[in-house]
Amino acid sequence: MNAIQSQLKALHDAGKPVLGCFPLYPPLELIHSLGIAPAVLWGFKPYFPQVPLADKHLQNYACSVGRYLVEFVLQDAGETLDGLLMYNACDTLRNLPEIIGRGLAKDAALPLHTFHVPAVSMERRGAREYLKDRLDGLIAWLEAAFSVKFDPDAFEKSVNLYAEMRGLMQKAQKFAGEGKALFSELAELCGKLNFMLVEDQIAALQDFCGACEQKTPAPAGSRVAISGILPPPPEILKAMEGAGLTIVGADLANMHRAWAYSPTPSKDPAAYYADFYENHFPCTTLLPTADRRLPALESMLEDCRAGAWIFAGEKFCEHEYFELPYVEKALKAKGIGVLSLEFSLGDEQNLGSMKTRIEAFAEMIEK
Amino acid sequence: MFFAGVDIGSTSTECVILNESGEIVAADMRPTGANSAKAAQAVLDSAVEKAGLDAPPHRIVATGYGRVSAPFAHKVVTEITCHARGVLHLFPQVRTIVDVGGQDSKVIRIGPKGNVIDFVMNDKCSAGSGRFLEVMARALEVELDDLGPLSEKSAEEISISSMCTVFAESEVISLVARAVPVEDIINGIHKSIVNRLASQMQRMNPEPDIVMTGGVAKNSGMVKKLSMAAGHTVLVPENPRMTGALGAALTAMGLERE
Amino acid sequence: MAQFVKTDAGKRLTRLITNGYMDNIVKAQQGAFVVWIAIIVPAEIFAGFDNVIYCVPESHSALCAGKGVGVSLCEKAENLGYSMDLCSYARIDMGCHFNQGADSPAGGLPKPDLLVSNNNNCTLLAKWFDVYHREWDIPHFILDIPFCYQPQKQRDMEYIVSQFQDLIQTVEKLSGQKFNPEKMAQAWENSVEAAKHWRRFLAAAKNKPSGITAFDSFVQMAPTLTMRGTPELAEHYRFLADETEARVDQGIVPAPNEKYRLLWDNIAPWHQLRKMSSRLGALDANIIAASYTYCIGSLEGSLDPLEFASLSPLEGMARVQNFTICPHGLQLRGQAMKQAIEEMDIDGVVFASNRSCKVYSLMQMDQQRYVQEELGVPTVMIDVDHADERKYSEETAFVRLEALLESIDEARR
Repeated sequence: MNAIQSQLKALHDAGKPVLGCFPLYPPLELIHSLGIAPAVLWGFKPYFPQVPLADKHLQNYACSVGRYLVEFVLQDAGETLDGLLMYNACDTLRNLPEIIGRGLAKDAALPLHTFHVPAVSMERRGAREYLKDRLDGLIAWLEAAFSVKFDPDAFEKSVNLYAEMRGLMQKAQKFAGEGKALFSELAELCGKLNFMLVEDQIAALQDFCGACEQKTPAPAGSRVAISGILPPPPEILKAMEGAGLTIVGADLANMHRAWAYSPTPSKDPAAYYADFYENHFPCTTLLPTADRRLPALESMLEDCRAGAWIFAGEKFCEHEYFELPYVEKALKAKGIGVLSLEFSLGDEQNLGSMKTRIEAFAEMIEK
Repeated sequence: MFFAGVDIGSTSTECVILNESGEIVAADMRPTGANSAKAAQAVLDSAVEKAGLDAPPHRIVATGYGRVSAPFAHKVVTEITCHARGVLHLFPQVRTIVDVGGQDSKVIRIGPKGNVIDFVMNDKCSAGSGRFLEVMARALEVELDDLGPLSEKSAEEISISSMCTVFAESEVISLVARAVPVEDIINGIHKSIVNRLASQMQRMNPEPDIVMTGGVAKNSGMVKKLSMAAGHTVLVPENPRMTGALGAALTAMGLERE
Repeated sequence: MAQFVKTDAGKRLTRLITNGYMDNIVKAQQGAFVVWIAIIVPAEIFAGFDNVIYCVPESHSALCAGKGVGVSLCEKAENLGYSMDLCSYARIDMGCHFNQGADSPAGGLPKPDLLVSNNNNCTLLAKWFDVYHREWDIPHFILDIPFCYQPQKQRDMEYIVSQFQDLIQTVEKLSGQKFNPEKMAQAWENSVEAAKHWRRFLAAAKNKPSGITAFDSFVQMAPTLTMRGTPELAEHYRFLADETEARVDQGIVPAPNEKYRLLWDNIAPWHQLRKMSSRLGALDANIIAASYTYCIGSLEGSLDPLEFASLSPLEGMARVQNFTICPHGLQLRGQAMKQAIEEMDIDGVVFASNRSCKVYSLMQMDQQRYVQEELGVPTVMIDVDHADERKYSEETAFVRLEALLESIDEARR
């Protein structure tokens, strides 16, 4: 078992049913409020060198996110997960529930629910009501599958916990930007948070921030922000830091995009999630946020005083790559240095060339 | 005082030694082979000997993919920066550099002040690199150095549609089987690589002067095609493999001034 | 050997398509309100307006690829920084329309006043249209259609209908034109009629030897995308079905020595139609049907013709959002393939793994196992790209296709 599998196993053995969720922005507060531990199945890359089981189900032009996800679930879903929840995001992921279903041995079948989040603004006719219906359906499914009962007060409590966690995340990123922690350490921690209860996430982030407060800031290098669906692999982040780059902003799906916005607290899931999806920090996977993407990114770069931008592309992710040329052009026009890197399965063969690019970029923006 | 630059590439390793006035006093190269550290040391030693120096150069800068395997280097700088410096030294008006090496290809944009303002490098895929040409030369049973002259004899340009090295190889083999003239096939292969390079280049808004470096720049057929695609004459240094080492040596000189 | 006799319906098709593209350019110049749509957007709605025309970039990209300009247009988009891994339809379209219609055999599409996409057939289409929305500052209306793993539920249909109503109002507002529901209802009737004849045409594959090749049917799909709701479409498909039936009666078939009846699973490789079908024909193999072509006229895991009598036009169009194949999960699609294999007495299935279409392709490995192991039908998987020829290798594909024919022989022994 690798580190992530063990961590999930521990979560599972702690007693609460574990619901594996994908992709990134499922209704975590709701799940948590029902006494279920949500685990966002994301960021497995550092833990699996190969994906032999997934390779029996997905062609190699599926993104690594999908391939690692299938690999993880097929390897030991039965030992670590009690159910799966998927909402709609992209063309690859939508095929996965049934593929996973086929891949799991018949006796290891998991209860699975698919949840449709309207891919349009909540202001559009019928969207809010449809979301409410989907949430009602989700609650009914969770109640039946895990013998639990929805409680508005418990929901509000969970909402507040998640808001606290997001606030701590922002604080932790700020410390990394000030040179009080390495961004690579924060990214590593964030990778693990996906498989923790929010209470434990808060404790872990408090520890992280507490340690930062004691430190004197390291001398700052060139200030850089990163964008992408996933953080670059650990060795690449270390190469960036080794080349003298300080990563001050993380427009990454499991980092700033996930924690930048906290909806107004509420006891009503429908109102809460309408706010959550409508005002979410822009992510390429959330269609209605597309118009806000560039302005949000630009103001993030300004806030963290980043003079350069690194795009950490996930190969085959259409959602990211349709927007890249536009963002790249706009940032270059503002005099921001841009480096575009692409990651996929089998990156280890490519590390040398990646490092060269990172170092050359550092040399380029230094002047 | 003397300054050396060592460029440790995937196929060959080069060394350039400059005197205090920045004149080249010696240059040498050899295949990198399996042990890049050994090749780096050997090429430095032979260049030192060629230059007739009795002590190691005052400052040494290593570059290229094997740059970290040169323990004698005072500093390590990437080949992007070194190529830019080397080419700029030879062609002060250069704004765009296209470097096609064994494993990768890159396009570097130079700003008006001579600094690197942007660059792109190909990814894992070897289409558009020297490697692609090597594989095709082997499939055609032709020497690598003969590709350029042969392609210029071509009367017709065959289209090689596959970009993937493996696919293109089987496409080339099937063209050979259909008795398509080898010159025309080579011409088609060149076009396919140039299309790929042109695509990298277009993204950089290329401006003249455009200079091509790397081993593939010795291939006259490729240079002509690239000139056509770019809409400008592509210039080639006398020794297109040496620009990285030259840039490294110039960087070594700069170290002394710091 | 397959016969390439251009049928009258084939000649008629060329005229129809050429005129269609020309008409759009002329009408746009004369001030028509131009909408660009994803293929699955209910085009009949636009027939409810006096002067609204629609264009279908996906279909136009397929046309470009079929006419041999796919690669050059893809390269133009790549030069602008668009990744080579993006769908080749999208790359062709951007390469063409960011260069004033460059290389298009149809002269490009007139610039849109509104973009309408749909996340059901594929989500990336919304990202693709967003590119124009940003670059040209044109409104983009996304139809949010829940993906279906099971047949459409009443609640989903209502949600979809409400969005159609919203779309109608949006077009009214932006175009300044008044919507006429009766004209839309008439268009819907035309579409239902056209689908009926289309099914009659596809049914010729049941004949032995098959009356058609899937390659004929791929090409004949085009007007469904670009002329939906018109009486001309219904008339064309009636003509096509009549002619095909008559030819079968006279014993004129594309592969008279048909030894292998194959089923194709994926979008057509537009750049290979002629080459692939003649090379297969030389082997006495015929791809007689494709899961793809059954998307016209059937729903949700079935090949049975549509039945809409009890539904209003908007409800019918909402149901059609779940046409057979792409907007479906593995199970429903497998069900449709099973029916095709049985009804058409299929000897082998070709899974064309299409790098440019993840919705279609990223379930084929499981589907292939299902067909091979549970239905006991020989299969093969080949690598294609629907419009980017650079990602296809004829030799590699044919080694596998010939191996499939050998395994069919083996199974017969």
